[in-house]
Amino acid sequence: METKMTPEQSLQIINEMINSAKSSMNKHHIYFLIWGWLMIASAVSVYLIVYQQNNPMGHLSWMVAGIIGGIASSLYGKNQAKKIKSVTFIDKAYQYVWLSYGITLLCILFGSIGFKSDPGPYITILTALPVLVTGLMLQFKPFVIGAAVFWIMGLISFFVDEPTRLLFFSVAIFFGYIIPGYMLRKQENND
Amino acid sequence: MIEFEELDPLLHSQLRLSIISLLVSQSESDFVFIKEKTGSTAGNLSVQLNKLSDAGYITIRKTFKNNYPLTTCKITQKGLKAFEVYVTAIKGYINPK
Repeated sequence: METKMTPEQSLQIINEMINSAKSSMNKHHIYFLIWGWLMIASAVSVYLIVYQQNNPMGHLSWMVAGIIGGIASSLYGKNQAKKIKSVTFIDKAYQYVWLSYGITLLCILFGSIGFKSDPGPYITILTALPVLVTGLMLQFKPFVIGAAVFWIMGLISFFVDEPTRLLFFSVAIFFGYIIPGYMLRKQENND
Repeated sequence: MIEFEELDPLLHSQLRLSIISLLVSQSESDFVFIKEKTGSTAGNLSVQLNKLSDAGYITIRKTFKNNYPLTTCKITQKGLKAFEVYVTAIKGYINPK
């Protein structure tokens, strides 16, 4: 048997349902923490091994970090996929933005290897884009601020030497990934 | 005299409206999620989902996940349009011109 509803009750149902299904993007804070700490560790390793000990093999730190991050992210992602019961449009948009970023990043990396140029400033500037979109979609200001830091650090990086770029990159990662990542985790625990 | 738009009888039902409202913001949702959020029984939910599906408001996909049956629902363009019309009509009732 169906209950008769007043227009007010109808609106109330609509509001309740839409609010109850709000995106739970905060479960993705782990990706920012994994990649944030890996990138900072790599930047520090490259600085110490390549520029302090003059060993070019230190550049392999990026590759090692990429492999570790890729494996950790996919294992976590697979685990999450088992638990997820619904996918919001925001979740989908979020995935597409980061997928596009990943593909563009790989293109820049391969291009830079081919031309033997430092992709650092380009990557720093490029990273501002998905971070900003994430911040705007989640209405989470720390990511918006983080994106601004990425743009500023990336732009300055064009005018400094390679070791200093690593420092700027680490600062950008700290403000764009690490701080928002921990704040997102806190919000998740409060929800 | 104020003229009210007729409300879509398919959406002017507590459970079906809940289902559609839930699916509006979702790319896709599984049966268990909808059941939890709407607080309905499996049997009633199944009946209402089929009514919405027959009207072309949603699509129902039956697959398997970890060897368990998985029913996934998704709103269609027709369902989205019907929802928009319904909300406009409801607003007309609440704030008549």
